Amino acid sequence: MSPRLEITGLTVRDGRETVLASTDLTLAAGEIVACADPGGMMLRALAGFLPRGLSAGWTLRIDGTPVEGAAGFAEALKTGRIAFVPWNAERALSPHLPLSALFEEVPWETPAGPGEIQRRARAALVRMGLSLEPEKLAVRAAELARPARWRVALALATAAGPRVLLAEAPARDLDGTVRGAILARLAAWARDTGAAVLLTGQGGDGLAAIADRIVPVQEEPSDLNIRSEDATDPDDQPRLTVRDLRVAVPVGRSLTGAVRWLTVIDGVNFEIDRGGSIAFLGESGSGKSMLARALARLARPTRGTITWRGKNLVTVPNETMRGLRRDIQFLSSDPFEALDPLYRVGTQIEESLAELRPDLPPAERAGVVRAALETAGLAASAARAFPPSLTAAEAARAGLARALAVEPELLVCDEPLAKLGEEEAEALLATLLDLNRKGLMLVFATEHARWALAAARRILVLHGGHVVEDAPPVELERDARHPLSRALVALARGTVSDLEGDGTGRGGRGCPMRPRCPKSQAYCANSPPPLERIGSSHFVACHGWDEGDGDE
Amino acid sequence: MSVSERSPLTTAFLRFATRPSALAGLLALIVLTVLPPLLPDDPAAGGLWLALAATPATLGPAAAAALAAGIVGTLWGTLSILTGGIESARRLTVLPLPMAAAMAPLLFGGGTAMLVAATALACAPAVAVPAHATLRLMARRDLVIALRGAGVREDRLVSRHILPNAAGPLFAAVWGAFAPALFTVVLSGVIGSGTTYLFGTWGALLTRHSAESAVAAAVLVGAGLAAATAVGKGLAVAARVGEER
Repeated sequence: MSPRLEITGLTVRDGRETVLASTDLTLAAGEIVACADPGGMMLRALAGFLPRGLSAGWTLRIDGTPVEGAAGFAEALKTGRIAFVPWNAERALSPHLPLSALFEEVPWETPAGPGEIQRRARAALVRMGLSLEPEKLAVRAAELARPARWRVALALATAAGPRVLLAEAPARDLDGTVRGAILARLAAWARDTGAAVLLTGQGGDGLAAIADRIVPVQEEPSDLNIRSEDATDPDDQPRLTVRDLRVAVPVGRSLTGAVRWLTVIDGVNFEIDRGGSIAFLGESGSGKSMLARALARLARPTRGTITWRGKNLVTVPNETMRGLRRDIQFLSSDPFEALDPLYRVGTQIEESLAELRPDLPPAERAGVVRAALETAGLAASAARAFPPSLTAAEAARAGLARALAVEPELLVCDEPLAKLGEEEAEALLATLLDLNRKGLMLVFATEHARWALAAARRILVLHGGHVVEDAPPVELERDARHPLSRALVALARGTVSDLEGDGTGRGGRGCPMRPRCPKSQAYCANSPPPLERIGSSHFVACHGWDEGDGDE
Repeated sequence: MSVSERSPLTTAFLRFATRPSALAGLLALIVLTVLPPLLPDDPAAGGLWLALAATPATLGPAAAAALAAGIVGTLWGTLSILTGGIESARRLTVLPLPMAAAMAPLLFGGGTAMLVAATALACAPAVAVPAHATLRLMARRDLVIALRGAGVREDRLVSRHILPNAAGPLFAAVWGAFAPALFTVVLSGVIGSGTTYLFGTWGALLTRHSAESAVAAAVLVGAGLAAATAVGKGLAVAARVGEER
């Protein structure tokens, strides 16, 4: 029996140079294969979308029938035998057409009238997890949120029942939990219909969770095997204590002129010992970045205390706080936004030294700059560079060097790995962990459980500005009890979570997680769950934390 | 790592210099500024001579008005950050203010000075809106948070980082007032308002002299407006410092 999809000799060339070496792939019916293709050449070569100057060669068979060249591929797309989902499929949906009109363009195998198309459209959308009332097919793509648009894009691709689906890192730009749920739907469709699915992307795109096979072009990072070693002196008093912290931001005025506030962080409590580390783990909008900024007093809390060496950072005068910035340094998520593009890296580090280490003679600053750059993993020559000429990884390390130059005790990192490639992120994390081992306290905000589990000795999982689980990494990895924590840890393991939907979890009564929680019960709607202790150092905010197996 | 020592200023200059339209526009404006004093003293030379001789009386008030509009507009944009809104300026940009400005000397007298003042006020909203956007964007950039976190004082933050980073886009915004100011000065000449120099302005030549001088003036008006716009676009591209990665 012929394989469903057979690609042989796929090669991409740039003149004489080979961009993609000869690749052969065979997919059986219902099989899902993920292929590491950081350059994004593979599927574009098949679809004939290569940039000018590049050429490709390949032979392709579907169920043993050859598809001849770009023209044959286009014909297969037109007849619905192949579906192609580009990396920007959700943005490519015509924004002003109703969904029903988008489905009229689908290459249906059998002709259908408008009513039948609507029925098929609804079935395809439901399959991708988007339940719509019949009249809602009149909604336009522009009116939908990004996750919903991705569901529509995949529903359009799968609606006509193609034999083969080719997709470039679908839903890559969504939160891991939401992306995982969408990919799980895609996988279920493939297995039900026997379609072969070829996905391309890179490490961190979450494709491994649904793939039967991964074609190893790029080595995947070692996920959970880096561990922060314990440098904490248990006899020490907590160095940083946070109590009942609330951060709210003004979002406009009401009709009466009163300022309206959005609470971004509420009721957060924790402490960090000398040399310790903590991670804030959560999806976009969970409040982790705002919490990190509040610790460095770059966002002003509206309630609660942040005590650092006996001083409440919430209320200290600005001048005192500036002095304390030598102790507490901050690392931004965007490495290029951390540095002023107009000045050389060395000049900016010296500026920080002049402000925060006035005791240091100016003649010694160049030496300190050199040492800081080397500690951060850069050559001393980086001091002469202007930030725009650096790579993202180099800029991130230059930002780290500026922070380290003033010899801080606490480094607050706001998603420092978010803009880096997998290997660069691993390397920077290793540097941060090394600094932590040498006594630098570390606060680490991230949306990736993989990094949080590796970076910290305690993890706060945040949702809607509240802590929903608080546990040491080993316990969280082994026995996460909150559905969000379980979903995030599942993603770190490369498996799919059972969480549906998306949202920041603010507003409304009851547990804010209940619209997405697969184990939601009627009583979950009554009140928000309090953070309760379920182990010696394990806290969780879930009405049903003790229902079901935490390890499933 | 390889260290590139090309400064952002050099990068901005190269961005401008590699746009042929911007370079050509700049060259045209330089020629129009430099050429008139070098002309032979011969009024019988024809329409082109007249049109070139009228250049200082056209570009001078236009440049002065654009500069004044830039100062007023930048102050307006800055103050609107503190007071909350730029809506009033935004609404004014859709009104035919250049028309009113061109008629101001006719209605209120005051000659060139009135024309410059009225044109500056008419063009100021068009500067205030992008100036407001530039400064607002700067204040919200993560760079400001990062620099505060690195211990940079507020006064240094503004003087050494925010203003220098905003200078390029602000200059591009101010330059944006030049083309409408030029248009207003030409319009005032057409309706016989404002400047009354020996050879008039391009606008005056369009209606009050020979057909030959009118054609030459029309060509210079077109070239001047196209040059001002092309240079403005070049400046806008050059001002995006830090986005070359």
